Amino acid sequence: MFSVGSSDVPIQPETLFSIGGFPFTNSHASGVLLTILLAVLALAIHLTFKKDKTPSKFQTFLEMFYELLAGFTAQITSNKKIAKKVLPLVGTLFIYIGISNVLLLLPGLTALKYDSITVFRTHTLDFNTTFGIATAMVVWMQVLSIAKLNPFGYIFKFIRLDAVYKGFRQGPGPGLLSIVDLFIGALDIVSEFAKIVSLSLRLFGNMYAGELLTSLVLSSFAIILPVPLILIFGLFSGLVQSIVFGSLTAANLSLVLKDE
Amino acid sequence: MTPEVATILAKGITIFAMVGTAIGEGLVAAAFMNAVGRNPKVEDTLFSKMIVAIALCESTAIYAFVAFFILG
Repeated sequence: MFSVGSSDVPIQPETLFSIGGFPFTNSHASGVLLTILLAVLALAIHLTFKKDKTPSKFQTFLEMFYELLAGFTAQITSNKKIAKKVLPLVGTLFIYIGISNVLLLLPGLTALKYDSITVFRTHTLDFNTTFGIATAMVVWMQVLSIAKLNPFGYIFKFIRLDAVYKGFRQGPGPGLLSIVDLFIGALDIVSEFAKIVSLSLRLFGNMYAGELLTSLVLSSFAIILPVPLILIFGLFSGLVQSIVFGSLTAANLSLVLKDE
Repeated sequence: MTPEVATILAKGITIFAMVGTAIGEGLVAAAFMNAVGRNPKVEDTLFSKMIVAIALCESTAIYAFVAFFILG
């Protein structure tokens, strides 16, 4: 009925040029663009915000946005002290991932080409990016956990010898039952690695699915028909995935920093 | 059974992940409807949480989607 063009979205981003053996890909380029945009925004905030006079519209809008982020983080961690501690990191994740998912929906940015390779590609469409962010978050959680308990307490959180000892003190029956705690502790190690894989793969998979379906729809339909599908797959799912990433990180951090 | 036939069969079996996702998301939506039916005032607070829960349920289907494209 209608011919579907072949959609070809490569999983590995294309290199633009190499800097001494290190390839500089097009998702690096859009990462640089995103960082420059956010730095300009931060500079604008620092230079133009007033504390004691009537705030401008821009300042009011950004303060409303900050209230939204802070309220959402407080809801997830359900503890205002932890929310205050965690908010710089989690708010950065919301803003960075949200904007980088959505930035290339602006028209014109993907038309720039260098040697017939598009210069900008969605920054989170690169598994290296999402894997790096997820690994950094999980490593930071381990660092916080080591700082809270001492290093031996951190190791014995995974090898639950104290639960086995307490079980055997009560008798051989509960002792044998508490051997299960050893397996549960070992499974915790696996679940830390599973957190890295699931966080990164969820974000990358959603962006990749959106990009692939957008290219399929744009090659089959024309004029106005692709627009609602691009809105749903690109805009909506990009924003929802950034909220999911941020809230999962906030929930895990609040588990680590509990009873403070 | 040549490798190409095995690849195509494997890709077809990977699609089965969608069954679990549909059932799971249906359960989340049904729980939302029940809660709003009992207490209509919580609709605004629960709606955004339901969206986040549905995005979490979608994640295993997304893993299967990525595996589908890696196989092919």
